[in-house]
Amino acid sequence: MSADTVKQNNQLGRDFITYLCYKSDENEGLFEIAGAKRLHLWVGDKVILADDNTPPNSIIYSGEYFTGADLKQAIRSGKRVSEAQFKIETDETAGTFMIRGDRFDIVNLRIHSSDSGADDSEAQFYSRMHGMEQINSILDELYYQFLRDISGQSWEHEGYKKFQIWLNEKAA
Amino acid sequence: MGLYTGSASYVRYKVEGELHGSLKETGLLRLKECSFRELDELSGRDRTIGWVSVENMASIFFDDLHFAKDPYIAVSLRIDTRRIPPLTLKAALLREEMSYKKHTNKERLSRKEKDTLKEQVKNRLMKKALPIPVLYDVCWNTATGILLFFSTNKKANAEFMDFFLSTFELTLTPLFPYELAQMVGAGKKGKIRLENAVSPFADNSWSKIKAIM
Repeated sequence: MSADTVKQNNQLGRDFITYLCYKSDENEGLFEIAGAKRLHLWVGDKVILADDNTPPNSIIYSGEYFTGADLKQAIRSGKRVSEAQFKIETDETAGTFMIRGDRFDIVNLRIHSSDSGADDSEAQFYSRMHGMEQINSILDELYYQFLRDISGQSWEHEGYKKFQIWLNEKAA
Repeated sequence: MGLYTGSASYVRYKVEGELHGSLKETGLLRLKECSFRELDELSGRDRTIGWVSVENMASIFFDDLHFAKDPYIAVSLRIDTRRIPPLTLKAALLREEMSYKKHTNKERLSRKEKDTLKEQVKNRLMKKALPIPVLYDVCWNTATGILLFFSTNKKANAEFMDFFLSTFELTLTPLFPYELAQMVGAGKKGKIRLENAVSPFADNSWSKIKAIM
């Protein structure tokens, strides 16, 4: 596949979010990023999956009552996650946000850091920007891991097989 | 919105290039040149766009350099629009046409007369319509060259990109999946071969799963 095709298909975003949902479930929310930093990332209360048809067939799961099995069933039917809410927790910060696969829009990001209640507007500004940049930086790091995984030679023989085992395993 | 309070929704951009000269001086100059102007100052226009203070949407005072929060530049983009609801225009136009016919003793109006009346009615109503302001926060980290635009609306983003270019003479690249892939790959100095990034979950049909198992 040429780089232009990758760009035109614009599917990297959806694949990335699908990958995050898969890895989060497989590793019970635990991720490690550069510098041996650990963080937790869980799927939140809303997930939208869509297939490649025009117009796409999509399915929305929201609220507390959908399960990993629901997601897997939709993925098995050829859909991928087009947007999802995640809950994130690091040593310094915690928050929730939606990410959209097509353009990587960040939607409704709420940060709960220790100094997010600062009175001074200047302090509040720096605290919020620090939180947002931290979350952006974590997402960039996870995106790099994803790209490295799927562009490596081992994906087809190992990575994809593991993914399919995960997809099949808990559906039983 | 969202730079100071509430939940934040944004699109990330990479600013291509750097401002010439001192960041504060050049930034101030450009912001002042393209600051927001009220519609009342601009006769005959139904729309206005410009920069305002991120802390006060009614202020275009930047001289105290409060927009420069090292290493960030934080401002808001304000767009005011006057709109006439379509049914309001239709009702006023019908009323005007009836009155015109009565005064001129005409049963029918020509296309030209109708157009002239429509323009007059539209201008009259436009003066009465209150401008509707929309505000978008912008935060540019001048150290990393990454900028956050606090709206995910596609039209607003397109308008912002154009206005940013005309203000600072710098182009913006939205960090969509492909562009972000290039950026993170370059940052790690281990260029990712995107042509190898086959769609990893392209075929999740049961037949393929069973074949693998």
